[in-house]
Amino acid sequence: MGKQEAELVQKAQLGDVPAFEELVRLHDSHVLQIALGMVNNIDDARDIYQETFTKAYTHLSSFQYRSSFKTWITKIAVNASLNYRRKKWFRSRLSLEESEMPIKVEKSNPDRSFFNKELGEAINRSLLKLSRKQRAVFTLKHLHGYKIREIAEMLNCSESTIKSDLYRAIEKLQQQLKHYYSV
Amino acid sequence: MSSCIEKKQLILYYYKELETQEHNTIQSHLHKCERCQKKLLELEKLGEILTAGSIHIEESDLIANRNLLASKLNRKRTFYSPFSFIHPRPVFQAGFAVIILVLGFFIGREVPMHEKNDTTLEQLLTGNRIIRTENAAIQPVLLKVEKVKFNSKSGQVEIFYSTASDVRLRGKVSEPEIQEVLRHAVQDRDNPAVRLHALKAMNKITPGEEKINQETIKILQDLFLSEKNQGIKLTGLKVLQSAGQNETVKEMLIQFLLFDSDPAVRIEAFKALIQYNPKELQEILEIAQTDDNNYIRHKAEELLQSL
Repeated sequence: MGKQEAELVQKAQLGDVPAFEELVRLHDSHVLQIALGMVNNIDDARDIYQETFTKAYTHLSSFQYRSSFKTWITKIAVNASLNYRRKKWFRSRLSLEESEMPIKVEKSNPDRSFFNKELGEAINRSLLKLSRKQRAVFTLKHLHGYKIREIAEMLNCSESTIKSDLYRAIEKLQQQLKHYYSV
Repeated sequence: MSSCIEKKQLILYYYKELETQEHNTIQSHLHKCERCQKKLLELEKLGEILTAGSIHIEESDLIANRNLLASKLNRKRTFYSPFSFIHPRPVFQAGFAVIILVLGFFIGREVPMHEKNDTTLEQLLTGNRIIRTENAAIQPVLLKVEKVKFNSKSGQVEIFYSTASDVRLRGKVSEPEIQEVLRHAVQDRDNPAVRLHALKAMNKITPGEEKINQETIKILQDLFLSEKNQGIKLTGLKVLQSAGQNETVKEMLIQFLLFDSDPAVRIEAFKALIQYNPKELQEILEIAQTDDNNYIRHKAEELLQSL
């Protein structure tokens, strides 16, 4: 963690909101990318973004400089993403009870369609086939380049578990997407 | 290295997660093995399409999110001091004062002693003999006299003492008296063995006999909120299943499936849930498809396909 960032964290811990907002500006693109990789839907990713930074603000005093601020915020974002679908389901049920509107379950992500509609949908479907943890491991490793050691720390499990989750995720993705690349 | 590289190793090689020596060994094998080269190329191609397919974020999206967050943080800051919401609003101040008055009234009020005169109970507590009924036996034992009040005018004496009476109750699990005691036992915070055995007994209600009632469901609901022992939770879940199809039970099962960290508990909840109409469970099954447990994931997939 750079000196400037450490100063910002210190100030934010003392209640300096502009300092915290500066930290948000430094890391929010990363947080949104993590959330997007995990939930595949921009609206859900925005919710996770809000939840992550609100949680970070509330628990900022517990940040003890053992890791970088980026790792700390990533950990919060990953955990928020892991629990998001379940929480969303409960929220949608509550609002259903109030409004009696049908629940809309997101199945595909329109934002990915710019790339290649058919392939984009296939990627979405394949990612949905992964377990929450496999998806988290894959996103952090493949899209964000975290080391297995760091991912293990973020998800509170052993490196060998992360390795086998990564292996299973790749296996599944290969199986699902083999028609889209030819060697 | 003569034999081909294992897929797991190749994935770690691709992600540069191997130690230098191992990395170099694999690299030199790749130079001479076409089969492994092809496997690596497949990985690279997959990686390319997944990276290219990742979603790009617009700056405007970030700005909108920052603004929303800033307004949330400002609200949080305003509400930071405890009871600060009361200060600016006289209506809140008056309401708060009324609440304090009502609370004060109830706290200061003397609660009268329960003065029910139960002669049968007195006989049980003061006698030395064992009292037997058809299905119960009570042995009253005087532990300690706490207080004696004597009224010299009326000649009445009032004695407060504690007793320990061992009671044995026998009967079938389906009998209401037994169920009542079992419900009490399930709520015993101190002794997990008592809770576990009570639940095991409750679980023995055979089909055709009376199903567990709402009161039992409520007690189980309370138990699950604080229970740490997974064995007790699992047995409790089995008891829940004997409640038949019930909305409260269904909700509890869904909560277990979605939120419990123990796969054994989630599997049990899942097994119970799929007894319900699968069409009503579509969303839950979709979420279950991403569960970390293989059994739940595959079974959920299977059920969804059958829909």
